[in-house]
Amino acid sequence: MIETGALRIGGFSRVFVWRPWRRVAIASLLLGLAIGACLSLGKVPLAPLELAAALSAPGSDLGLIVWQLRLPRTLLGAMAGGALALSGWLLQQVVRNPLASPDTLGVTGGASAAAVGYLAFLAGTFGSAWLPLAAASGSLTAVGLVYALSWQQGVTPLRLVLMGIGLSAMLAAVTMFMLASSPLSTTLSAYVWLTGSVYGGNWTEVSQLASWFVSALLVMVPLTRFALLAPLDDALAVGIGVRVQLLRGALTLLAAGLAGIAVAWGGAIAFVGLVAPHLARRLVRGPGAAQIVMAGVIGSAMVVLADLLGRTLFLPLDLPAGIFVAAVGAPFFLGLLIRQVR
Amino acid sequence: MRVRLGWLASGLAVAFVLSLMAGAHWVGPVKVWHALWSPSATDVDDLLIRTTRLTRTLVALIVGAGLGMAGGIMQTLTRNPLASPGLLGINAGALFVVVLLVTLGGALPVWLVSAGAFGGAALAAAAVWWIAMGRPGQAGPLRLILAGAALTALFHAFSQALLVVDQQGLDSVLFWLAGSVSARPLSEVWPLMLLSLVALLACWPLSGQWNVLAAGESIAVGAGVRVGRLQGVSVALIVVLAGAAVAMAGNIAFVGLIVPHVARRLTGPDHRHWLPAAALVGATTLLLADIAARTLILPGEVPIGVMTALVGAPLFMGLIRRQGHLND
Repeated sequence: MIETGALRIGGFSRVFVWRPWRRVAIASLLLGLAIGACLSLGKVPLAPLELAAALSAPGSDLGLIVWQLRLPRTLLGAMAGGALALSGWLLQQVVRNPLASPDTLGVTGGASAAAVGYLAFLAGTFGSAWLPLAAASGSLTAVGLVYALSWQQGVTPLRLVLMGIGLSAMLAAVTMFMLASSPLSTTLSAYVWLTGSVYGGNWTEVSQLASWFVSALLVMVPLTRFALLAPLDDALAVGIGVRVQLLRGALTLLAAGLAGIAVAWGGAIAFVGLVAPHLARRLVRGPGAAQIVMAGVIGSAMVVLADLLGRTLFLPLDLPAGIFVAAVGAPFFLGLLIRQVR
Repeated sequence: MRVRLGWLASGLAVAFVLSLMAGAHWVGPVKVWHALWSPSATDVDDLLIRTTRLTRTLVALIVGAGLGMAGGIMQTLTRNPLASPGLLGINAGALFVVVLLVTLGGALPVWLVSAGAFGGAALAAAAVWWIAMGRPGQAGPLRLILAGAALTALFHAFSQALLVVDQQGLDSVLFWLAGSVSARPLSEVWPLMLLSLVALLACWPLSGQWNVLAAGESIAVGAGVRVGRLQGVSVALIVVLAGAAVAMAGNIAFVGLIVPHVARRLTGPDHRHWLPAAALVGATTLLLADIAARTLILPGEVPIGVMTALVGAPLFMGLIRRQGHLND
C-alpha cells in the first residue's frame, strides 16, 4: 500500500499522506448517499431509478419536485452545515478549547438580533429577500464589536470568549424584547428562523450562498497552514515566527464570516459548529487538510440529514432542521463534557 | 461594616417605597402609607397599590435578593468570579423544564410548573457542579464558562425546538423567557417567596464556614469544616434560590453575576457582611430595574429580564476589561 504521494508543479511541492483521506472519501460517499436520500424521500417518495429519470427531465412533474423543491433546499443545508463546521473548527483552534463554537463569539447572537429586528420592523415594507443580508451584517458587526472590546494590547482567547458571551447575552435581551413586543405571527416566524430552517430554499438563495461560501473557502485555503499553529502557546508561536495577533484576528474574522453566511441563509442552527469539528478530530487524527475537509463533510451531512428528518418524520409538519441537529448534538455534547472532565 | 449594611438597607427601603409609587400613574408617598396601613375598599389608588404594585414589588425584592445571594455563593464555591446562575446555565435549565411542561401538558397547575423550574435548576446545577469539581484545580475559568455557555445553548435550543413544534405554547411562556415580576398574582407566588426567604435565612449561619472554604479546601478540612457536606448544602441553597427566582419571575440575567461584585466592593470579602450585602444590593437593583422597566416606554413595558441584561451586560464587559489576569 502506498502511504504517501507527492504533487510537484514547478516550484510548488506538497507531500500528501493518503491514510486520513480514505476516511474522508468514505465520509464524502456517505454524504452523497444522504443527499441522494434527501432528493428521493418526502411526501412523494422516489425509487433510485425514478430519481434518475426525474433528474434528467427537469420539466416533468417529478423533475419539478426534485429540481425546484428538494435540490435547492438540500444544497442550502449542505453548504450551511459545511460553513458552520469549518467556522467551528477554526474557532476551536483559535480559542484552544473544543467547547468553543460560533455561538460563543456572538455570531449567532448578532445574526439573530438583526434577523428578528428585520422581521419585526422591515419585512413589511421590503419583503423577506433582504433577510440573509441583514443577518450576515448583524453577525459580522457583533463579532467585530466583540473583537474590538477584547482588544487590550492584543486579544486573548479567554477575553474573546467572555466578551462574546457578554455581548450575546445583551443581543439575546434585545431579541427577546423585540419578540415579546411584536405580534404573535412575527414572533412565530422569528422563532422558526431562530431554530434554524432551510425551508423553502430556492435557486437564488443557493447561488448567493454558494458565491459567498466559495469566496470564503478561497480565503481559507491559504490560511489553513497557519491555522494549525494557532493552538500553540503565545510565546512559542512568537518564537517560531508567527505574528500571533494578526493570525488570531484573521482567523476570527474568517470564522465569523463563514458562520455568518451559514446563519444568514440557513437560520441559527445550533451545535453543528461545536459537534462536527469534534467528530472530525476523532476520525482523522492530527490536524491537517484532511481533518478540515472531514469537518466540512460531517457538518454538511448533519444538516442535510436533520433537514430530511424534519421534513419526513412528522409528515404534514415541516419541522426546522435545527431541532434535530440539537437532538443529535446534545448527547454528543454531554459525552464531550464527560471526556473533558475525566 | 454594620453601618454600611444599614445604608444598604435604607437604600432598599427607599427603592421599595419608590416602587410602590412609580408607574403609569404616580402615587404620592403619603397615599402609599395610607394604602398599606389603612386602605379603603373603594379608593382606586389603594386598590392599585395593594393588588398589582405590592405584588410585583415583593416579587422583585425576593427574586433580586435570591439571585444576588445565589451568585455570591456560586462564586465562592467555584472560586470563579464569573460564576452565576445565568452564565452557568441554571436559569436556562429551569426555563427548559418549564417550557417542556407547558408545551406537553398545556394548562398545568402552578405548583407543578414551579416544581419543574426547581427540577431544571437542579439538573443544570448538577451538570455544572460536576464539571467544576471534576478534577480539583482543573476547572479553569475558561472551561467552566465555556461549559456553562454550551449548556445554556443546549437548553435554549431545546426550548426553542419545543416552542416551534407547539406554537400555542409560545404565547403563554414568552414571559418566562423574557422575565417578568408582574405576571402572576400573590396567591400563586407566596409559597415560592416563603421558600426563598427560608433559604436566604439559612445562608446566615453558613457564612463563617464559607469564609474558611474560600481560603482553600485543604485549609477548610484542616480547620474542621466538613467540606463535602458544606458544598452539598451550598449547592442545595443555590438550587432553591435560583429555581425559586426563575419560577417566580422567569429568566432574569446578570443580577446574580454583577451584584456580588458590587457588594464585595462595598463590604470587603468577609462572607458575613458580603453575602447579606449581596442580597440587599440584589433586591435594590431589581426594584430599580422594575421601576425603570415600567416607566421608560409608557404605556408599554420593557420585560425586566431585558432591562437587567441591557444594563448588566455592559457592566460585565467592563468587569472583564478590568481583570488584568485574564490573559491566559
